Amino acid sequence: MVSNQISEIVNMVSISKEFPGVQALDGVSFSCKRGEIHSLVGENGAGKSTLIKILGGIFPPDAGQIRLRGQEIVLRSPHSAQLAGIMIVHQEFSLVPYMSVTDNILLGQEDCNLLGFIKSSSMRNKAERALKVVKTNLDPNAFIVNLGAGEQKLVEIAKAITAAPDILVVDEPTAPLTKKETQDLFKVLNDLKQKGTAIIYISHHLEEIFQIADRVTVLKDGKKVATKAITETNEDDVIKMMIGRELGDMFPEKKTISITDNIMTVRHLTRKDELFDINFHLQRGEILGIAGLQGQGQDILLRTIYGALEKDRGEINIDDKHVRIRSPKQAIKAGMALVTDKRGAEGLCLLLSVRDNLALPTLDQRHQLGIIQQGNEHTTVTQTISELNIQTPTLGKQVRFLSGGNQQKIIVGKWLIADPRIVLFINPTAGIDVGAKTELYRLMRALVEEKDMGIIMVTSDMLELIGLCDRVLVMYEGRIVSEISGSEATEEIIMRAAVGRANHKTDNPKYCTT
Amino acid sequence: MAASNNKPSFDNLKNQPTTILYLGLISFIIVLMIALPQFRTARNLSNILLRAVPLLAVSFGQTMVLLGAGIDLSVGAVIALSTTVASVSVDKSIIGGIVLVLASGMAVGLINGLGVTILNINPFLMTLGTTIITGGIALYIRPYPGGIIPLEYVDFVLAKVGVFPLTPFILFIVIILLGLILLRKSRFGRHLYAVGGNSDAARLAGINTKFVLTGTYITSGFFAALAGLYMTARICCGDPAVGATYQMDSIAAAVLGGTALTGGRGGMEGTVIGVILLAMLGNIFNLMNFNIYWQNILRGVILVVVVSLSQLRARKLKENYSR
Repeated sequence: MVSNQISEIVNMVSISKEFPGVQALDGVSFSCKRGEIHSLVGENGAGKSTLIKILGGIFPPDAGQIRLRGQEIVLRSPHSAQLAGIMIVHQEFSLVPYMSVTDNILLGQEDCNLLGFIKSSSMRNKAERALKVVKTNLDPNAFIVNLGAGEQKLVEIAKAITAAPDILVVDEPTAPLTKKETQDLFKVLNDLKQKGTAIIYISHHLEEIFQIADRVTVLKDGKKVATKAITETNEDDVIKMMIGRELGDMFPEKKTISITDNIMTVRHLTRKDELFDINFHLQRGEILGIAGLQGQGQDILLRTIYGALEKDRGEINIDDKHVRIRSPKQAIKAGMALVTDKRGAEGLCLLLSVRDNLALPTLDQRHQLGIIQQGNEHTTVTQTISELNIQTPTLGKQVRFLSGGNQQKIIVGKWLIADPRIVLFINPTAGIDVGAKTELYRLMRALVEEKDMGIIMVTSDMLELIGLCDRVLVMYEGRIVSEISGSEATEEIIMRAAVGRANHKTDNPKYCTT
Repeated sequence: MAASNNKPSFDNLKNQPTTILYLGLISFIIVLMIALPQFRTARNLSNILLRAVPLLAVSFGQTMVLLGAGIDLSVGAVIALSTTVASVSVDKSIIGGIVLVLASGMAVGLINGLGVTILNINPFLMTLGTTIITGGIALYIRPYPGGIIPLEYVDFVLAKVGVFPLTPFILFIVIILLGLILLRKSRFGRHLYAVGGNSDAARLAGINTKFVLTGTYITSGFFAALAGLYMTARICCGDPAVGATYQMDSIAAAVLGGTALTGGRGGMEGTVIGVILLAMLGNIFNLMNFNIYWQNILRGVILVVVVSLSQLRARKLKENYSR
């Protein structure tokens, strides 16, 4: 046991972190040894990123300590984490687009002479060496903007390992990579492991974890479920640890759908590299859930249907009539509305009043010669506020002063005034409190049942999928891989499909056992 | 997507806006040489050079600030301040006066930089504020043009060999080389591109972004003061009203040369062309006896056309990146 402690190069003890309204981490302990690949898994929002950001010095923990090489350390900034030998390859891109591969790899660690001039040839040599380590033959002079997503990811990894870190964290590196690039990356990670680097590997893909990790730690709702040696567990076991929460009485009762005509049909919807031949239909009076791990194309699917992103192929029928949707404006005209989790960026004008926000999408119907008919507006707005139970002191209050839940209700409300038939939701309850969530669920239920609308909801919250949806489609790598009826949906069934195990991967017989 | 998809370096060359600009500029000059006999006289060419030197100095500083996604409106006021400070100091000691002027320019830059990075003031507003303050100080020092500028100073700054303006030419070349080396060959330059291109990435790579940005404003202040010293010799007095046109012309020159207002893209190569173009345009308009109103209208139109062309290109590149 004592020798074990010494070989643990990094040891995070009882880390807690609270964000407004969310306990992101609650007493989580995590460690990694030299020459070990330790995988961190969990559902979206389980606390993986928070834990890694604390290790990377991006923000401090509220409680707990970090021990590095046996000594307690305080990481004040990303820079101090790097000096301590911790390098993180973040999930989002962190390259400078208009600079060369070489300059990006050696950013902040340039080779200079005494006068501060760059030594180009030695920079280039170093960059070439780093690129060789990640097994790519990229041109070190190429500009980042001219590279594909997979190539950019390799550059980021090359950049991280040039600093020769003792601890390397890779957060979801394989999302933009092809199968071959993924295997190459695993070779790179195994090489580094042989050299004694401690590697923390975050991934949604269980198959990857069982391929390269030595240990796996499962997080759920900000708590650690277990840490196990990879040889002592299996995929089913890990899935079971990732799931398992109580439904509670947050959700309104589902009713069996009596009307069964299709309100919308989507056929062969395709978007290059992101969506592959998507086919599904939406029934009148139903809430259709779209499940999947982060970044499997769920948001892109809704935005493409809504015309905010271009599609390459495919057609959309509403009420059995083909509709041409190339822009959000056309989508609105066809009777759609989109409510997203980016309330500030996409949903509301934060500096405008409650009234102005609610009236915005329907201004066209309420003016004469460009002058807004205030009286009419007042009636509609007041009615919506009472219908949705929006808590605001006055109609003139700027919406930035309202709570997340009330803001979300205003977004829903402004679309309801426009009287849509199909409402698309993307993570509608992200960042709002439980009470407001429950209200929103009841509202969504009421919309489909009383107003005959159809709702499509993308969410990463398992409970919402099970508790609220009449039907669940599961996406994996830009495809719909499974359809599950609301009455049959369980966390386990959804999670299996979401990690790519419900579909038939004939090229990999190991995963066809279920 | 595939790792083997290597782009030849020719593609990078093609994506450099400066390549097209250089070709355009050279053909433009050739056409002028042939079409306008008065243009190709030695006297006229040296005139263009004399005109271009202060603009080049200011535009270099402006380019640095723009690369860091900032903007420096105070350069015109710094020129005015510099001529007035010079007009009360160079007659006592030439070296002392020069040092004083350059230091005051850098001080304005330092204030700009600290305001932008420490107080988090929007660069446009911060430098607008210092423009007004600096302009006020210039008027306080010298409410109307005047002062005695020693002849040795003028002879030194505008030293000629025959009709060839030697010192201005040396200044011109030195500023260009300084710009190229600083931006392309120095660690500071590399960090500046990183801060302007993706400041999060730069910060995560351990770069002190505030230091880098403040450095750009100080450089800009320094070169605006240098332009002021040069102007002092040309107009032979201190004038609180001189320099106002440099504010917009320096931004125009940098942007014409392909430097993006959003930071991280562009450089000295392009700015040199922008400066020569603007100086030549003014010269041609004069030769062709265009009145000042038409000159302004045409210059504005050219700016808008060139910038919109570069926007189209940027959009294409951006689509590529987001994919």
